This record gives sequence, C-alpha cells and structure tokens, in this order.
Amino acid sequence: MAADPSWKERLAARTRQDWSREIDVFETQLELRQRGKIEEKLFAETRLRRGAYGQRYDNGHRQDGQKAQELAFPERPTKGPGTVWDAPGMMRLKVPYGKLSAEQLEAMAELAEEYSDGILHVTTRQDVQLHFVHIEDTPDLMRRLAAVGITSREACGNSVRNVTQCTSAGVCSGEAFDTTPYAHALAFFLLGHDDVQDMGRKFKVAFSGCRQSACGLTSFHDIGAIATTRAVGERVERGFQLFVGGGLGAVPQAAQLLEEFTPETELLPVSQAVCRVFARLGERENRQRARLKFLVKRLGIEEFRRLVRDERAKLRPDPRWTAFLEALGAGDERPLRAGAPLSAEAARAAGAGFARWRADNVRGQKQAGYTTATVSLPLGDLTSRQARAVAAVARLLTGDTLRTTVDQNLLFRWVSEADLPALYAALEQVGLGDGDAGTIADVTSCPGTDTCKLGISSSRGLSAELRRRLRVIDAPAARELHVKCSGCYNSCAQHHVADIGFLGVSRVVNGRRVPHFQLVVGGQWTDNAGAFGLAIGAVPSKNVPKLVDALVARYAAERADGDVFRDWVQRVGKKEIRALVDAHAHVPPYDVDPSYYSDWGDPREYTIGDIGEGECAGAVVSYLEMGLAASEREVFEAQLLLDQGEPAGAARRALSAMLQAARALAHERNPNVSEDAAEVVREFRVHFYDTKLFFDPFVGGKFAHYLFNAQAEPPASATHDVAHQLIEEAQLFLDAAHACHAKLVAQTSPTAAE
Amino acid sequence: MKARRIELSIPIEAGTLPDPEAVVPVFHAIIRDGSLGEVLVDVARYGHVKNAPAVVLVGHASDYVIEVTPEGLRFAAVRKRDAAPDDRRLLDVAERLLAAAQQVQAALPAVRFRTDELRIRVLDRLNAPNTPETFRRLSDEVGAFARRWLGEVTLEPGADPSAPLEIWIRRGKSEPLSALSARLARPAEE
Repeated sequence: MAADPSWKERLAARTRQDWSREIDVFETQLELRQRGKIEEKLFAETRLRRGAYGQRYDNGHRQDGQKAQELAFPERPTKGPGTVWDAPGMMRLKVPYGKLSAEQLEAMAELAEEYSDGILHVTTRQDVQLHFVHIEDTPDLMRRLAAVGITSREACGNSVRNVTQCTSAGVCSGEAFDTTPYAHALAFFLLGHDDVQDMGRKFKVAFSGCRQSACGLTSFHDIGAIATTRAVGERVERGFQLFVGGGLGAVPQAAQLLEEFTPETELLPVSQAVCRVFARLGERENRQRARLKFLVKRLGIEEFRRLVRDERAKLRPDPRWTAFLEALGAGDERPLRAGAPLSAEAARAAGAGFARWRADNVRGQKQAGYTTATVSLPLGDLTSRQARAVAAVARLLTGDTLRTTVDQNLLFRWVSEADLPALYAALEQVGLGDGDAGTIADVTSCPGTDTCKLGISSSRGLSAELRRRLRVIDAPAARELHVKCSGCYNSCAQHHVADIGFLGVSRVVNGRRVPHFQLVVGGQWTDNAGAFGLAIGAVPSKNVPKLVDALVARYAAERADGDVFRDWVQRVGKKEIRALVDAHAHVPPYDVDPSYYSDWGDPREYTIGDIGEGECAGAVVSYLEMGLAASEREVFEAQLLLDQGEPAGAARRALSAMLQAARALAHERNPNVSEDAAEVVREFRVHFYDTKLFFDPFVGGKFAHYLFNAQAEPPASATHDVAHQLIEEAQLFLDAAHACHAKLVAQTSPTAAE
Repeated sequence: MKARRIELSIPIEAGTLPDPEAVVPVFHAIIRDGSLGEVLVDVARYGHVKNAPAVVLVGHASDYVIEVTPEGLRFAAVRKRDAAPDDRRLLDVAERLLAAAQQVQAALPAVRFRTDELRIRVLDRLNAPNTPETFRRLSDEVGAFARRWLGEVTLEPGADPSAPLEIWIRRGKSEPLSALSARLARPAEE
C-alpha cells in the first residue's frame, strides 16, 4: 500500500536545501516539545523565530461579556508560557521589501484557504499574516512557502524583522537611486546571520530612496537607510545616510544620524556592526527598555557611533558585503508590456468609477508610459479568491512586480497606461475596485482586540466604521489626511505619524469598563515620518467617528492656504483640540445607552480580561540556550536516523550535536567563533577544557574527550554500534554542556542558578 | 473521503438575512453557551471585504461561516481537525452544518436556509487537487452519500480550476433543516 503523500516529498525538488532543512528542524522541535524534551520558554522563542505567533485567547480563557470561561482544548503540553498547544495562532509570512510574485501570492492564497480562514492580511511592515492557524500545520505551511521562495524565518521574536522599503523604489522620479538591490542584499545577509541571533529585542530596518517623501518611514526604525550620492571626481558614488535608534511603541523616538554617508560597499558591514553592538550591550532583563532606541539614548549617539566604528574595524571580512554590487541591475524589474498612453476616449469609456479610482490609486512612474496602481484593501484584508485574481492580472499585465505596502494595500508596478481600464475592470470584478488609496478613508489598523493578545480596544472595528463614514468626504484637503488606529499604545498601526491617530485605552465610567481611544495629533507622515504626534485626550470608542467628523470639519473650514493638518493643529493649539475631545468625552449611563459599554463589532460587554502576555518579542533566550536546544534536537535526529537504518548519518549527526553545543559555549567567550569544526574544538578547548569549566566533579574532562575523539576521527562510515555509542556520548556531552551553562549563569547571577 | 479539511455549505434564502452582521451576537452566544458541544474560540468579522467569509465562528476543530458570494449568502461548516474516519467525514460535516444552522435559525427566526443546492469544497490540495480526475474519483463517494441522504441529486464540478475542488450537489427541492437532520440521523442501511 502506498504511503500517504506529503508536502515534504512533493516539494523537495523545488525547495532550497537549507530552507528545507530548517523546516525539518522546526518539525523536529515540535515533536520534541510534545515529548517534553524542550522547555516551553525555549520552544516559544523557537516558534516565534519561525513566524508562528500567539493569538488572543491562546491562554485557554475567554471573557464572554459576563464571566471568564475556559476553552476546553485537548490536554497537551504548552507551546509557550501560558499558551495552549491547540489554541489557534497567527502565522507571519515575511515579504522582504514587500516584493511578491504572482506565484507567491497564489501560494499564500492557497495557504489561507487550507490552514487559515480564507483571509490574507497585509501588515504595516509589508508582511502578510494568516490567523487561526494550528501549530501542527505550520511545517507544511512553511514548506509550501519555501517552495515559492518565501521564508517566515525571523518574522517574529528577538530578531531582524522584515526589511521594509518605499514601494516606489526604482520607479520614483524623486529617488537618488533604486534601493531595491540594497534592501534585498541586507535582508538576506542578516537573515539567520549568527550576529543577530542573540539580540535582546526585535530589530527593524527600512530603506528610502529619498529624504522628503513618506514612503520609507526611516525615522522610526532601528536602522533607517536613505539613498544619497556624492561626487568623487568625475564619478558619482552611491551611499546612504544611515540613521539608528528610531522606534515607535509607547514612547516614540526619532532615529539619529549615525553616518552622513555610508558608501554602498559599507552598508552591510556597518549594519552588521550596529547589530553586534546592540546584541552585546542592549538591555536584556527589562524588555520594555530593550529596543535599540534605549541603548542609543543611554550611550548617546557619539559613543554609540564610536562603538559601531570599533566593531566595524574588528569584523572578519565577508565576501557577501560587496558581492551583490557586481550584479546591480541584474534583478531590476522589466515591464511585461510596452508602455503606451491611455487615450482620453478610452478613459471616458471606462466610466466614472474608473475615473475616481484612477485619480486616487494611480501614479505615474519615472518611466514614460507606465504607472503604479494601488489595490485598496480594506483594513489590509483580501480573500484567497481576490488574491488569485490579483495574481492572474499580474501575470497578464505586469509580471511579478507586486508590492505589499506599509499602509496595508497592494501595488501593481509597471502598468502600461493603456492597460489601466483592463486592470480596473479585473479588480472591480472581484470587489477590489475601490478608490480612496492614500486618502482619509484608507484607514490603517492593527489587529487590536480582534486577534492580538495585547489589544485593549477594537481598532479594526473602529477603523471599519471610520472607513465606511469617511468615504463620502470630498473636500480635497480633508481627503488627504491620514487616519491610523492602534488597539493599544504599541503603535503597530503607526498612529504617532498620522494626521489623526488613535490608540486604544480603557476607562472605568459609572463603575463599568468602557472602551476608549486616545486622540493623537501632530504627527507627520511625510519626510520619512518626520514628526511624532502627542496624545490629547481620550473619548469613548463610540464617539470617535463624531470626533473625527468635528476635527475634519473644523480643519476644512479653518485651514489657511498651504496648511497641512499639522500646521492647523499648531495654529489652533492643543487646548482647542482638547476642548473638542472633551465635548465628545461623555459616556451616558448604562441604562440609558448600553452600546457605549461594548466595543465596535463586538456585542459582548466590554472587558479588558482577555488581555494576555504579549509575544511581540519572546522572552530573552540566550544564544547559548538556543545552541543547546539545537544540539538536543540533533541528538534526537541522530536517534531517528539510527532507527531508520542510517548509522553513518546518525554518527555524523551525533558529532554535529556535540559541535553545536561546543560552539554555543565557545560563543560565550568568543562571539567571533566560526562554524569551522576545527576552530570550534580549538576555542572550546581553550575556554572550557583548559580552564576546567567543562569538567564534571567526578569524571573530570571525560565528556570533552568524546568531542575531541570524534572530531579527530570523524565517523565517515560508522556501523550501528559505533553510531549508537556516539549518540550516547553526544547525550553525555550535551548534559555536561547544560551543567557548564548552569555554572556560567551562577558566575554572573548567583541567585538565578539556584 | 481522505482530506484534511472539508467544507459543506447551503444557501441562505435571499432577503431573509439582510445584514450578515446580525449573526455576530448569535455566534458569541453559541460560544458562551457551549451549545454546539465543541471548542469554539472566537468570532471573526470581515464584512468590510467584498464577497468574503463575512462572519466566521472559529473553533478548534470546526469553523462556521456566513459567506457572501456574488450569488448571495451561504452558510458553511468547515471540518478542519479531529476529523471522523475517512468513511464518515461527509456525514460528520453534514451533521455539524445542520446543527449550527438550526441554532442560527432558532436565534434569528426570519432566516431561511435552502437545501436544494449544496456545495462541498475539499480544502486539501495535497489529497484532493482540483482536477477532473479527482472530481471523478470523489463523485462516487459524494454521490452515494448524497443520494442516501437527499434522494435524487446531480453533481457538478466548480467552475474555477484555481480554487479548491468543489462539488455542487443539486436537487429538485428544498426541505426544512429538520427534515434533512432526521434523515441524516437514520442509519445508512435504512
């Protein structure tokens, strides 16, 4: 009887071997966690680094409006502290700089149907998220992604998150040069890089092609790179203004200038040096203060700059730093169809809906005859069917030039102007023909209480309501405003840089909880998010639309020529704005209007009882702990290989497990230790054998010799017995490594080891 | 049927559920009361997306969906985990669909379901790729099950080759849910 088919077998030939191996490793870790062989904190960080994130109610409890109820999931091990194994979670799919091919979008559409609820959600970091995914489905989901060139590696956790970029890169007339190959090179250079595996918190990178526009939003990134050039004799040299230490969150901080001109050849090594300084000196105990912005603030930019330069000088040369420069231009997008103008007659024939869509959603490219066209996605959502339709249009009209955008839309590039009516008609047919891109109705929202464990108020419920109401606004100045709603202070919707921003809070009124939103004004979207707004005051959720109406009406009536919203706010003053807030702050008693005591779209009586522990970054798990866990997994894999009748492979895996553990230890003393086996053994011997740190109280250095012996005579063709013995030795070596880890912890923190 | 995920849906009679959002409090109540006897987790709302699963009652092993399509509203049950044995999966998803639909109807008496046009979607491209061959292979099993349950039916494949495999089950009449439920409860031999 034939075995059941598997995605692993079916996709093996289409998948990069290293990615395939990574997913196999993750699948083994799932199995080990189910057997209780990996502790929950470690497994949580492991899955986060694979993009498998927690979701609301995954602690197994849910408020029903009157009381908390237990969700009776099957009894299993947890998949993280307070996180039930079977509770559905979110899967974040990393889309470097937002670039998607038709094939990739189709694959995501299939995954949404088969593992999620049929909806793809575009995020403010150009990622795509699927919700309600079961942890056991994630390996196959990852395999199907990997087969089309997408990895979810390091999409969450204390890692380098998705690298974002202005979606007009390469087609914008205002850019210094196309930053795409640089964003690509840095994203894949840092992906899985050893130097970014031991950071105390997440790390975000953004690219912008110019200083003045909003698109790159470099001001609130850990590294923000703005393209610039300088003349060197006759030659024009490319480089970047490099900013560091920006961030939003509860307390936003603008990035500071690290280098006025980082030559293109130095982009990767300087970024690597920044990561290493952050990994070494960043806060590790208090994760509320662990982002790079706090380190830069604590040290001062001068000292931080000095440390980065010192670190840069110490780096081992890496050919990848400049290899990509030799192929610049090779990956440039090419149009599928010849650029041709759209005649006035054809535009008229396409109708009024087309005209409105074209005015809002279409922008000319610097290449004559071509435009970009935004697909407006309400709240960043689209169905699998819609995603397939977008992919089909891309195949027909533009090729693989799609982008996800930071304002949660999709973008076609390289659309021949003459093809715009056909593009519009195809989108309209599947319900994606809305205009409003970049207007006040294009409201940005984080997941909020819909799915996020940290959500306080329903940002999506509010945003859906605002979007519905704001579509009718037609005053041009008012239509240009940006509205962004976050469900809590963490600013995932980037409310600090909106004209009108909101963040979810709760208030007790008349003895009951009432969902509220703080109004934030004064932010600046342009100039790469040039200014952060301030909270003015809170109003009940149900009054927010009326407050927005009042703000917009006053702005439209009172603005002076040339004013933007921020100018008007500054002119009328925060006191006036506060008065508007106060006028909308009243909450009627419950028996007069109970609707105030529920949130948008949720009939349950409002509570904050569902707020859980965030997984925005996992608990800090050290490089050493991750290394020991990897070693543990390799020992297990060696056992499986032996059971499968592959003693040679089992023996090699057992040796690899010892090397893995030895390297994790050696890394504690020498962060530059490479993966070269001889070097690992040498460094391990110097720092842990010669110092007797690795010694067992009873047998001394015996376990270390298991490694030395196996390394001296690598097991090329082991028999079953030899492999069996080596696996036993590897397990003992690993146990000794754990004991050594405990000694190291005791040295630095005597109470922690108790 | 060997498939990880199976969806069965029926149409909602036009005009009997003017706003799909009306189901949101019903779904919340089902979670609160545990009235479907399975672990249900949350209610997801996508009313802002056109032609989408507008409201989803998300469970551990099953989802229940009010779907907006160009042809009108449908009500679906999706069995996604802890599936019954292969030979009972269709029966299992049908039982769940009817139980959930009856609860919606009890809470919103104006809502009427049609049972003259059922749609099966096999959300498993590994075991059931959307090909004419798979349709032929599954038609025997689906047809036998449907005829036993519903009487005379015709089966047709879905029109979109890029979508998951669809099998449309059409019959000449629409009966109340209770009648279908009663027939489903009878042993197959009867």
